[in-house]
Amino acid sequence: MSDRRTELLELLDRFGAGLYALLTRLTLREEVAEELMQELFLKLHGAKDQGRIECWYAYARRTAINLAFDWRRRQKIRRACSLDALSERASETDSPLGRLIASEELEQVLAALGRLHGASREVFVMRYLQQHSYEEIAEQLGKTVHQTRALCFRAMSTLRDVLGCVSLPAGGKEVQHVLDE
Amino acid sequence: MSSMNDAELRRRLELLADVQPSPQATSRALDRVRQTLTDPNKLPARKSLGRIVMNSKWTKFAVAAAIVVAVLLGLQFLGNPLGSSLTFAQVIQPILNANTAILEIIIGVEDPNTPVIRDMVMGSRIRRTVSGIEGNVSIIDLEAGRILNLDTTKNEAAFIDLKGLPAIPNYLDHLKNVLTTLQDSPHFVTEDLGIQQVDGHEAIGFRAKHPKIDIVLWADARTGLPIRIEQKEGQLSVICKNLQFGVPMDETLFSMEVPEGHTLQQTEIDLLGSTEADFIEGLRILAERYGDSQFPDSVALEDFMKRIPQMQEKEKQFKLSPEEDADLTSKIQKHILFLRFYKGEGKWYYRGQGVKLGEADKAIFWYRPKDSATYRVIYGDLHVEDATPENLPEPLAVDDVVTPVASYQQWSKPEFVGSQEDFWYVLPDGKAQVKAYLTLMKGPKDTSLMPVSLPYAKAPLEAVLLGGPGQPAQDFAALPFHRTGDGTYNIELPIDKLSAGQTMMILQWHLSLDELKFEQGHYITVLQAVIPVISYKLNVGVDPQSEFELTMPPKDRWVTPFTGGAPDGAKTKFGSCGLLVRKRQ
Repeated sequence: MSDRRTELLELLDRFGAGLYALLTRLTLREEVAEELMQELFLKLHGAKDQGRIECWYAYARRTAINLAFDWRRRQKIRRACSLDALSERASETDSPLGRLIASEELEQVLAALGRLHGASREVFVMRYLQQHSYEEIAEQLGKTVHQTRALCFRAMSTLRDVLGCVSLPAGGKEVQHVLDE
Repeated sequence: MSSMNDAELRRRLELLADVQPSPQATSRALDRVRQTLTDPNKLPARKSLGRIVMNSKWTKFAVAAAIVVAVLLGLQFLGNPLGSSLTFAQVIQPILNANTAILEIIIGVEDPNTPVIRDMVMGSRIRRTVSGIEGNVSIIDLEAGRILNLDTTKNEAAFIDLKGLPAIPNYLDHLKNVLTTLQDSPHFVTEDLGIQQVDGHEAIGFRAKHPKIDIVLWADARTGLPIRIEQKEGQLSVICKNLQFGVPMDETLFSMEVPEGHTLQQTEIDLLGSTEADFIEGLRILAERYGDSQFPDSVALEDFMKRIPQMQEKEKQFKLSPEEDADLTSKIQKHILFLRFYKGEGKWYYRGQGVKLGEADKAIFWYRPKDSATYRVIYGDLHVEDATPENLPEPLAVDDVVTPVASYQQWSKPEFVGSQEDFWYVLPDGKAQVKAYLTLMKGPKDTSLMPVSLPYAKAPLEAVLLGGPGQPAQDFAALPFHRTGDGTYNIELPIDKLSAGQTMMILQWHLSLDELKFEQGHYITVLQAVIPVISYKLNVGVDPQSEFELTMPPKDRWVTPFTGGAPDGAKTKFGSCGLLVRKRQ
């Protein structure tokens, strides 16, 4: 087996579950996360200039985040939960994840997170979705704690702005009784 | 605008951080990657994940494989066929206790020409044969999301990886979970069909209705064992008959090992990824390759199954390269899956019978995509046009309306459950006239008093009306109610009218906007339903004479600051939000 495969298998054993959990958080769908997990390791396997990758885990995490948000961009983001959608989803599974999937609230936050870019998004995801300390993030990204905090603060401000502008569109349902009056 | 404060944002972020995949899903995902990394042949082939990968000679399996996939789970309930009847609970007990099952599946109408799918179920695996497709056996592994298809006459085997299928570690456990979880779902209305002769048995029948599915279950009146389940989901009818549970079986029949001497191929199918373009491409193939340029008489799955023998005869004449073989199979599967997992609104219409490929003036198929106001109409030359309902080639079927279940049912739980949509209309005096449209779904037995709690005690309940969905407001009847506390009331319900379908109530009160919290230029209201509800929606409008205006363009006078559901179970509180109203500027 090639060295690269051995390295990737080690990465999978040590950090695979965490990377899969991260992908699940960012997509809210286990089956999508599974596909992206495959894609992630194929990308890692085919990555050019691998000698320049200092930390495979950091590279994998960044790639995973990008893959998840690329996937989200390709999706038609649901802005409003219809009753039908919720009942269908509830029927599919009664797991806690299934219930979370049905939550419009989380989709809204993830959609807003998709507006962030680069290090800002990565830091925010590490801080709030992976719940790393600022010190851990700084160490992993090779930044100072102060820089990390600043990035996170700016990301949070952007997120607030974005969410402040998000509105739920009207469902379009006409209630004749009300309109008639 | 949906206002969100810091606390709310942090709460949502914490919820996101709490999301964890199941151990089974994690294990499956990691195993899959590990398998890919350790198998040198897999790495190049896996580079194009997300699209169907076909690398085999599959024409001989084309129609057979398509059917195996399309009818993946015979006993696949969207919801729960169970009522609250104790008798019915006894009837399903054999299902809940069983580890194995045998059943026959029929798609569409049961007649001698209809192929019969025979399933043996053990744990997460199904061994399937289909009448008319001799020598073909499929082992479906629901946990791994994989099918092993065996052609025993040619000693050929193929693995089909299923995308879009949630992992099902145990078929019957899955069924049990669905049944028990949804047993008290407000969406379901059950009906006792009494005793009839069914498949040679004296059987007790129960019907369960859901907006999207109609299920009839028959059980042997003597033994209580379920013998037949009829499901109608959209335009697809599935009959599961000759059900037997707890039958001893040999595990080797469910082996996913490829028998010695078989050549092996591999492919992948995205169950839910079929598009309109895939469907159209299938129409072209069916006409060009199988129909002498004529479109099939029907595109329903049941009719496709009946055509399998003729199609297989045709396939023998094809002289295709392996790549063309693979491509053909993939396209037929996608074509079938488009209607099998139809995601459009209402019904689809097919009028291709007698039409030849290329006849551009003849509409052969139309449907309304989800959330679309217009229909997509496919013509004989396979071009597509958008059309409003009035401009369709034919009027819609009279029953082609998607309506929620309106019936009211009593259940064993102590609370009332419904869905609520509020309309707040800001009047010139600065007060909002609130009309809460409450659709009642379930209520306790032995009581006709429904307790309600209004969100603001200072805004007393003024009127309660009851009528049916679609009924003019002036025909709604007033209901008596009594105050029981601050903002709480008891409403006297006429159970007979509710059972007859009059399930929509209108509760009215007035509320001064001054009562609301005012933050950063927004009036903030609590989102509270009057009883536990499975969905809650808030609409807001403003009288042009008032000193207020909406902060975003209305649609038909209204803006909708909030729409939410309660997937964990009915609830009354949905948080708070801004009204999208401000002082006129």
